[in-house]
Amino acid sequence: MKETIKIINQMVKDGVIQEYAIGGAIAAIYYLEPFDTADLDIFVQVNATASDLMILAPIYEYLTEQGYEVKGEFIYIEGIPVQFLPVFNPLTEEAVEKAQTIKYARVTTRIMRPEHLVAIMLDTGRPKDYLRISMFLEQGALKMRSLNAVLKQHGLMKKWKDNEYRFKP
Amino acid sequence: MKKYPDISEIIKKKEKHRRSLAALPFEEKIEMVFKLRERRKFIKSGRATSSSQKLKMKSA
Repeated sequence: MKETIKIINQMVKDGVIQEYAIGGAIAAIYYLEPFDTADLDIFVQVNATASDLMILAPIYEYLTEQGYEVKGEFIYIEGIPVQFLPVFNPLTEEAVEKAQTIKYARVTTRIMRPEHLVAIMLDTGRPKDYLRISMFLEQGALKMRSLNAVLKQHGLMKKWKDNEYRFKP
Repeated sequence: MKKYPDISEIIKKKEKHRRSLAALPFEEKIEMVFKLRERRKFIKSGRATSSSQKLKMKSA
């Protein structure tokens, strides 16, 4: 994954993407015990504005020109299936902006904070998202105060209360 | 009334193990994810073989 991150960092340097943060399961694993997952979700901020996924076209062009292969919804970068997702609402935008900088095998990268990951999972609301929220709570991997602030900011307090029974330890 | 063993100690130990896994360095956890993925592929390939074997057995 180190080489994959290097390529993504290069994309920022080359101006293909403005900023990025690792989200999804891999980001959750940073805070939790490891579990099986298929891909690396990269949330990106790009300069262009468009309402459809054509916004990702320059990313795919850049990577395919370098010989990386697209298979289904993934693009394989140095052997890792990567899914690029443009920030698609104020919550994901804030999650990328406020992501923390970490080192992975001495390579700098950005990873979403736990409160944003949990808020995004709540917003998405699939059974596996609720399961992961319960893992965050059980393992004390987030500060409730920070989570409440994000939930309030993005109008998710009611959804949290309505679904709390699904993931409260 | 039938008596059942108390497994709370086992559950506590499991919880402790999960927490120790969560505390590992990120790189080590990602390594484990890749190993899990390999294991999943292996298990899936096993399933495919056995179901095709079952089909063969049925058609025989």
